[in-house]
Amino acid sequence: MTTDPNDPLGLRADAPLVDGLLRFLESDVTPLHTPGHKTQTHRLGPVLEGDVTLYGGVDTIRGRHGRLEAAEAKAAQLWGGDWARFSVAGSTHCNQALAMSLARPGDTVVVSRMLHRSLLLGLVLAGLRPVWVSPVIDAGLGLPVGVSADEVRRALTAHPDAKAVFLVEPSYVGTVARLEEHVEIAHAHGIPLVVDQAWGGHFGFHPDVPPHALQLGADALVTSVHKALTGYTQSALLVARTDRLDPDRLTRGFDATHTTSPAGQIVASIDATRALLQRDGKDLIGEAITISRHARERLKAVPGLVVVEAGDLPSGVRFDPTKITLSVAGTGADGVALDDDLAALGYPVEYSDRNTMVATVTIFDDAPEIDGFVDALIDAVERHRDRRRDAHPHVAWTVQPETVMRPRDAFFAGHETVSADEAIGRISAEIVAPYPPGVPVLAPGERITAAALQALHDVKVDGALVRYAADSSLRTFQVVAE
Amino acid sequence: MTDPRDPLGLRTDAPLLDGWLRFREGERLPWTTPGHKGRTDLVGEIVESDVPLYGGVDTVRSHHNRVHDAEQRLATLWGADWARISVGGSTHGNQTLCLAVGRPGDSIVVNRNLHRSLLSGLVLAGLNPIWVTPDIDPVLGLPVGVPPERVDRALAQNPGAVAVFLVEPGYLGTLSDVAAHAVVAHAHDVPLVVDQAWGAHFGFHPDLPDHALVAGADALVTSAHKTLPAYTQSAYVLARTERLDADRLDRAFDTLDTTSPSGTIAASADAARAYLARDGAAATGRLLDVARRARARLRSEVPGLVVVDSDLLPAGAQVDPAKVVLSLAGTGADGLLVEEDLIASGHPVEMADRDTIVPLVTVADDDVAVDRFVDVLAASIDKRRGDPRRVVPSVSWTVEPETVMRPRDAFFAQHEVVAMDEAIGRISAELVAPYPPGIPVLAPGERVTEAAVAGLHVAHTAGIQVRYAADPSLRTLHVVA
Repeated sequence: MTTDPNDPLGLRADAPLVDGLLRFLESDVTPLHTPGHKTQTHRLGPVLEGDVTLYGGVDTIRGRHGRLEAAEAKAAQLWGGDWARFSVAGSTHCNQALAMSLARPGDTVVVSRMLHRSLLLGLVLAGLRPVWVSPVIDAGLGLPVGVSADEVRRALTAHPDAKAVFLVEPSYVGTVARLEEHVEIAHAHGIPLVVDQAWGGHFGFHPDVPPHALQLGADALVTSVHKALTGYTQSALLVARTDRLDPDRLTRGFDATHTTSPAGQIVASIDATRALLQRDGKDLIGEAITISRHARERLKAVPGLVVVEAGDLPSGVRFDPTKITLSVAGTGADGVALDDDLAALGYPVEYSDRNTMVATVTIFDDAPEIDGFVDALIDAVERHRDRRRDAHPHVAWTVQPETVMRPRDAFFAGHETVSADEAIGRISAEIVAPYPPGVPVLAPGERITAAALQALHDVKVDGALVRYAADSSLRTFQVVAE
Repeated sequence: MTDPRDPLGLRTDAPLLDGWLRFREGERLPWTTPGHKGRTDLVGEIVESDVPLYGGVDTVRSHHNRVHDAEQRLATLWGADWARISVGGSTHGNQTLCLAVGRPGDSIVVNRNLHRSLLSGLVLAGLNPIWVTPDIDPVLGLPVGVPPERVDRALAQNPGAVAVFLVEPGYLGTLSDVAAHAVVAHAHDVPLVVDQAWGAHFGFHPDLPDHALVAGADALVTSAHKTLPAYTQSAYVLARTERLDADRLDRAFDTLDTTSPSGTIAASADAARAYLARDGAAATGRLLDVARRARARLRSEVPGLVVVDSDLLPAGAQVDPAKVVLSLAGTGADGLLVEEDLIASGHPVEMADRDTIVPLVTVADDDVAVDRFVDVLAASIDKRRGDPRRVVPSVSWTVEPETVMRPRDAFFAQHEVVAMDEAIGRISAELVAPYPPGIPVLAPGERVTEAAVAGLHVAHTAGIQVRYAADPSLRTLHVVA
């Protein structure tokens, strides 16, 4: 049997969008609709290759074959949801869709402070008031290990009018709280719990990875299909149960900010990934775990390097075993310098700061490749080895915000630009987040503290990128005008 | 010698295209997203061209020099002070402008001919729309632009309005006198912003209309993937900063922008800009020739078919000469059946309803492709010919909205589901738009009228997809409780 290079595993029979995409590519069509390049690449070259619209390519311009709906129904079923949508604008879009459908302007929601900036801006769009819950920081590792159930209980007791709990699990470094406990607390208060699970697309599809949020009773999850899974960049999935969430409001919230010209390749890649996960997910994730474990074992032999394992974490905290999460402080090497060396050798990693490094192993990685990465990393550590440091947690995990104005009000307020010194004590009008992980250190409506500015300055000096600040040099800040 | 990866040699002027090509030329084994790691042996070629913008085309940690460089070149080409490349379509661009022009509770004058994304933008920003409707040509049943006097009156009656938001050209290629609108808006000391999604080619040839910034507008949004050769979802947002605040524009843009943008989409938008900068006049000149030829052939060879052109429209009405808009009423053929023939023969078109067909012609088309299309269309119309009809303007063009609640308040209000007949007189909680063109007939906060319901039923019966309605069969509607 010959394999079709466009569908090497024969997924199209179970994947209506993949089938639609391949039919379009196999047909002889002269499109008289968008995209304007009309599938020609002789001018701009391969940068346009494979671009097909969802409407007018994968399906007809009016979607009359219902391919998208059929594919979304299959995803809902696989994740055990009642409702699912495919996004071409990333977990950003899905987080904001959830924020728009959970509550109404002026309502209060309990939100993990480890949130991604997209969710914070979702609060702006929906006009919600956040009650922050902060993650526990493991003192030894300097890493967040999830928001405790007690913290959520305290927040709901103090704010009985809260309309939802919004958590971010797993964290950027692969730690996961015991969500079932949080779910129980939220449901006891009669409110939904939803989870930004952007980095956990593979969760629940192998006994050794944590269960996904819906399996633990959550009402909705957002996941990036292009991160841990195999979708095209920008592909994301929002799955919900509708006992506590209104499907009409979810649909309205989702559609509000979604482009009306979605790329067919992006949605079809979600469908292909779902079909692959459904058929071969367990085997593929098993291989990824094996590869990752092999790398971790080798790295443990490096003196001073702490390789995070589930057993090192406080009891009850789960860990994503496909992640390679390293605390480099004990080697004295600077994580950012290691990252630069690795990138120069063709091994860019997902995340690094001075003390921490995270490499993403997915179901598409190979064992020989990981050894090349491990060799390169060991060499780099030896090159940069220095006096050991304590693993200070990154400011993104430890920020203690004081929200004095609803984020939406601060976002739209008149602002003025002041020097960093003058900004202390004022209310921030802008988001400032070291990236990655994209967790805001300053957010609209929050009092700017000297500690936050010092931490941002330190992060920048350490070589991290500080994003979204209007003045990326951090010499001036935009604050709410008085 | 030409490089097949960059046949026109654009990379020296296109920093994102250059970054994209470099990434693909390099040997990299990334321990980063995207998770498919460039392998095509599992889900297949779908992910072949996928490169992330950050950590692919540009670096993760540097200051995104390529992105800034590309955006500066974009601003220069359009004569803007501020420019951004979007991977979320003109939807993202329109919503950016809504978030940047006003503050919750402010009023803005908006063309009712708006795309749904702009209406959702009003919800996000909490703006109150003051609607201005376009004139409808009585013979063709097409919208032919908003008279500037109408906007002048609206601004005079609503002195608190903070901006004017127009959609130019409209979905059917007609456009208002944007320069006159700019004079009116500026006389009232408010910015004019324009959704120019379908006019990315404007301003690059003397026979094309000026683009909105040249005409004096303060901002424009345009889709790179519609009339230019760029990847689906790519768009440009361009502004002058005399009346708009660059900080607020940035903040608004970033709010809705994914933090994992596709480098392929962004690089294609950069490449299309470089192509326009270098060959824009020649490429759009070719496009105008191809469109002219298509219109001339259709006019002479298909009896009863009306091919829209400026000579058929009221004096002064402008039309995009690159657009081919066909009115079928005189042939008696049903546009939806003709569309089926076109799809079956491999010539899907941008829009079809009972009376209208719009094939999109772009800089990528040539005479051969257009001639084949004309042959197929002529044959189909002959096969489907019937008694000539009178044109009934689509409800999308004729809706007369009565806004009784701020769109944002209705969007978030408690709703109930009622039978469509019972909905008349109630306030709509949802957005309902025949697609294409995607112009809302019902919007959150509007009184549901008999005319709107009847118009939607007509569209639905005629086989037009009615999108975004919670009940696409239109038997029920969500209204504010």
